[in-house]
Amino acid sequence: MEKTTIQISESLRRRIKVFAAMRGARYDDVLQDFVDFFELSIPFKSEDDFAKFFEANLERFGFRRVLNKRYPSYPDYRVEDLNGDAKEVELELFARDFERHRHDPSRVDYIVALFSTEDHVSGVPVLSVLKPDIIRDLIEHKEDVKHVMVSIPKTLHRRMERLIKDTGFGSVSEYVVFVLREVVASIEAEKAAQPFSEEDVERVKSRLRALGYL
Amino acid sequence: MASVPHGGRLVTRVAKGERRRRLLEEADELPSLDLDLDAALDAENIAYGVYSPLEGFMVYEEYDSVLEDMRLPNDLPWTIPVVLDVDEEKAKFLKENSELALRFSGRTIAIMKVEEFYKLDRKRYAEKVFGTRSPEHPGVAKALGMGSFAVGGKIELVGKTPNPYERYTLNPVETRVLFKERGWRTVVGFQTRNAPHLGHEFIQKSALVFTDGLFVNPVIGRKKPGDFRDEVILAAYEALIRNYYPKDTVVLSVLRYNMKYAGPREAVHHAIIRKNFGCTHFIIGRDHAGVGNYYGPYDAWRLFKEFPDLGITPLFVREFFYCKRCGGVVNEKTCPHGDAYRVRFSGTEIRSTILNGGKPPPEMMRPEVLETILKFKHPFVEE
Repeated sequence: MEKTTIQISESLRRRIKVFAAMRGARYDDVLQDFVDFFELSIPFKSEDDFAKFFEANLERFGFRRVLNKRYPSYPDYRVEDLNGDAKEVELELFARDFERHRHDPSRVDYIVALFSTEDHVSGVPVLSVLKPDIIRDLIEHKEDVKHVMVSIPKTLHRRMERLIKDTGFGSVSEYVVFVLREVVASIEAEKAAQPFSEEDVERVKSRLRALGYL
Repeated sequence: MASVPHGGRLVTRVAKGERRRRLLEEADELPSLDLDLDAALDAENIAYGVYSPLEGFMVYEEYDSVLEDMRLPNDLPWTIPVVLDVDEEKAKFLKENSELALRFSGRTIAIMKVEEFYKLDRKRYAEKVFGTRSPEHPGVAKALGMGSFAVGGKIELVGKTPNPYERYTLNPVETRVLFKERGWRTVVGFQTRNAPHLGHEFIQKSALVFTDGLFVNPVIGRKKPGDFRDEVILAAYEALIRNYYPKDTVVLSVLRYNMKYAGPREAVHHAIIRKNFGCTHFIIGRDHAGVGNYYGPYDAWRLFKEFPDLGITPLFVREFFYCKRCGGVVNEKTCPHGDAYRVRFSGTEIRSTILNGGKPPPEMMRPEVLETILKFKHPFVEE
């Protein structure tokens, strides 16, 4: 297979070497594994593919319809959000490309990205398909026997993220669990049966009378 | 709306009539385990539904879930493990899926269907439940002295421990029927280990302003020297209720239970117990179930916020004190005056005054309550 050279930082090279040693694998094989993983986990070969994905999945990002498509001119889209407001959106496979492309942040409301490590780039909020915490969650949930995943609309997730700010809830999951427990307990309480029979009542009443309570 | 038992169903594991007689007969042939008073009271509390929905001593899954998550495996809030510990020697003779006679003072009080026995990590237990491993903490000291195994399984009560306060002992079915008969839809529970002073009275009355009834539920059990004796506490409450509460607004009944001093976790446990008795509200004061300086004064209040599904409303009440300028019993929310005017209610000080032959002033303790206490030749637990 024809090979090429990529430049990586010295610290990353050292980490890969340590990782290779831990696995008992060769450095080059580990690099190839990373490339395979990258290809598998990122299904878009180009930003064009990602644009098609975006248009087919507007609601995942909290949008209702495309008002104006300018792609590939900046900004790529004018869309309507679920509140009926018009928003300017720029698509990037990696959110940091927004900076590299030297876009004017004052002209967009959102960056829609495939991947981002940050919630904001150049001060613009990022809506990304993949985030480090999603990947982390995915890995942790695989080994987590105490939790299961429940899907909620991204838009609702975002609303709750805003709602829980400065409330002491550490995450949306924590808040959802709290609210659900409250709701489930109150429904269960409504459905609970009378805790004793009529016969019990008569027997108990005579003891209560004997003790002077009644 | 009346409180629903924890888990939706009031547990009753008390054998009666012919079944009880047969179980007692069979018990003679069964291997047996001698219980101390704490474990025997736990068995009674399980059987009478005080610990609903528990039907027996916890199996490992329940124990571990309570330690780690403060919930039973079915997600119900539960903060204190209810385990039956055994020493290693005894554990060797236990068999899973067998029956075991649980004895107290040589008499069988319950039959257990042994589901499993498991190793108890006592240090982990202490750290999780009490938040410390310090052997100075009385709960930790007791936990570290537990057997190294636990046996879990459902029980059926066939006998009872001797109870000097039978007259004041009501089980959850009885309190629920009583509350219903009195027409109470909302009931506030009050836990105490002391004879009442005016601070207690004002906390109770503040809650009673917006509930139909008050359930005064003193914990009867092991006490330390210098504490009021149980019969003194009961008599003092009788005097207070007779003289200072409207008729039929208060029920006085004891809880036979040994305090763990587990602070916040135990405060939640106490609330669950009162929920099972039928309370809709439960008063949580400063440093509830605390000891020494192991817990912050309002740690318990914070822990309650983790349980939106508890099914009983905690009433967080700040300390009351006597204010010389207000000329009455108030608290921080109702009095603007400074510390110079405030006389704090201190149970320790009241006890010490009485012990030294003095009389606490009427703004500290009702004269009728004091008079009742003084009628006892030995009102305090002695060494």
